[in-house]
Amino acid sequence: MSNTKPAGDGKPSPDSLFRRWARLIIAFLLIVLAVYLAPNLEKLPGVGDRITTLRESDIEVGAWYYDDVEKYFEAEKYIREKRGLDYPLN
Amino acid sequence: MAENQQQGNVFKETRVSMVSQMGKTEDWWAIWLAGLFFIAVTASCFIWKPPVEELPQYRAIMNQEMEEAGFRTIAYTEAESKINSIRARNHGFTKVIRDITERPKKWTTNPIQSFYMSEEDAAAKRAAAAGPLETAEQNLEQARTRAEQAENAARAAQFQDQQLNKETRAAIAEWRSAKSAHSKAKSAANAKAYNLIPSLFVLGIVVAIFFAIGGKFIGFNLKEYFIGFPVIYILTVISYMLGNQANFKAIGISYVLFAIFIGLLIANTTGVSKSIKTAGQTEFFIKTGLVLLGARILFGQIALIGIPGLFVTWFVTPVVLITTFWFGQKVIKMPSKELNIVVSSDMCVSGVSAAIASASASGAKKEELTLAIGMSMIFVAIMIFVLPTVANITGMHPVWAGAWLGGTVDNTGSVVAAGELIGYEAMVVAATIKMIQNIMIGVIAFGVAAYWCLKVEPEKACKPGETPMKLSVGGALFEIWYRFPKFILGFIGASIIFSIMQAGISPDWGHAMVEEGILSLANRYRGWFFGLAFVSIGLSISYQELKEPLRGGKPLILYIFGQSFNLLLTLFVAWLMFMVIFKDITEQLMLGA
Repeated sequence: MSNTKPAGDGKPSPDSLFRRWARLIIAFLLIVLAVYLAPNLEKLPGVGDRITTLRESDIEVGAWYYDDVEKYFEAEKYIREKRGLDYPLN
Repeated sequence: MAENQQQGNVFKETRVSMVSQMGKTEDWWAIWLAGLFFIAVTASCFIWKPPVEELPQYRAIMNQEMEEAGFRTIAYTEAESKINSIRARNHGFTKVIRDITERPKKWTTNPIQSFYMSEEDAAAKRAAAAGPLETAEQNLEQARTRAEQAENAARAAQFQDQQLNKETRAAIAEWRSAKSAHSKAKSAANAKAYNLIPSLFVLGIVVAIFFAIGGKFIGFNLKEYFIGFPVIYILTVISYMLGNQANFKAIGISYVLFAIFIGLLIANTTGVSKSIKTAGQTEFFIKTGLVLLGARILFGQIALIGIPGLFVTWFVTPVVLITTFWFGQKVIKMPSKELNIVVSSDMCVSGVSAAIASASASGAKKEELTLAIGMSMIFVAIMIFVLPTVANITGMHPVWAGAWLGGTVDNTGSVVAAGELIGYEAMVVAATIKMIQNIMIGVIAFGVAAYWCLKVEPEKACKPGETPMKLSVGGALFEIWYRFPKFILGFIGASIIFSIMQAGISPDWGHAMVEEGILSLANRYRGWFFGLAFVSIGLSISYQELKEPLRGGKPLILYIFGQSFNLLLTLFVAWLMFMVIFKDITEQLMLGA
């Protein structure tokens, strides 16, 4: 990847220091609010029960590579067993 | 690699010798550092070796039982459990270096539990789990007795009575299931107090020094780097903590989004200091992480579901990738080829991992990678719920549905989650198809890098400069070699070395020493390196830069076109492969379901 600008737009926002910090604090408070409200996702009509199922299953839903997902190894074992691909004899 | 200078209208390129590159560039230092990591971890696994000499005796029991009974008996299952419990990662210093990589834990309402649990809280958890454990123990004991009785009867008939064999298999399956439930209940009932702060502190120091080794040769200002690194590291820890909130985790909002988002917030409000900019070495973190990731691309696994699995992944995926890229270039005329390839690979190969690999291979901008990842995560959160609903309502066969999900939903975790909402068989097929697709990342990264060297950026070498490309096969090969992103060699090299190592001595040894040893540690460190990279990406982007590639909604159109095509083609090919041509494999997978 390339980016000639090492960070942000290379210069602080033209707003005053107070306003910049106020924006950051408000944004973090919004994150805190989102975290506080997150358990209510399970009350959403239509998907709430599915979210509960996924939460209880403890699947690493956000994991993006197969070796980060515990269930993958269970799946591999199942496939090997069903297809008779168990490890060969030593 | 090359130092480019614009003098008037003349583009001058001063080439740097390969030896010099090897000592001074991020690409090579990503390889050296990953190599150093693998040497250290491999040495640790061999010095503090698990009892691998016991493996053949357990395997002999399994073979003998299988030969005698023709199915998995109690002794077979127990020997198999012993084999699975032999893991290099649980021994000596290897355990220590793995334990310090512990990530913040899952929590629901109290974020402190992500890092710390008191003895009182642990005791309360143990007390709450005591009842279920007792029930699980009783169930296990009863199931074991039934399995033993059934097996003794079948053994007395020398496993010749098919009815007794059938009953025994059912009883053993029930016992195995009870065993698994007992194991989970036992784990909950053994809840222990923890405090991750000391290990996180040590890990921060280790990782900072690790990258400083390469940084010294690449030319970091080490003083600035060491001042800025703790900020990036703490933000990474916070991102992991937020991503582990139980409900966010359930819908796939992972640390990746939080890391980029928090970085963006800071960069675009208070701004970032020079030291943080110096410490935010996005490419270095990503390239090193990718070389570690390469070790997990084990080619021995691609044939797990046979030809239909290969066809759904290794045929459909390149077709969709090339078609989507073509659509982006020729039809909607994407303003950036790099953005086009990153969105296309993210959407049709395997989400974040493919996006990172193709972004690094093509030299895409950070905001282009951010945009691709952001879009993918939003669509994934929708697809997790929509696709299983479609499959359930239409009554799709679980294997067909699993193959469809595995080939289309980005990111393995989301694939498994969507499969789980259909059923167990759909989940296992989906997870396996996704894994086979994951293995494609190496090929895709290599292909993208080669394409960019030959087709997208060759004009650089042909401009009036000091070393124009020679018009010969040798000259072209030299040009490719010169421009090729070298860390991809490390990525592919790691894949080849560990594919050989895993299968080389014996599969059981490979499992104990490679998969559950070296690669298990590589996974943990890789996760942290990518976490640092995502925070660094966020810290280096301005809102304006992020808005630019979104102009005209072209990336969104590209994603929707590509994903729609992917959904339809995968649906058709999965049906053709699993429901028409290779029905025997589908029946095998459903046997006993």
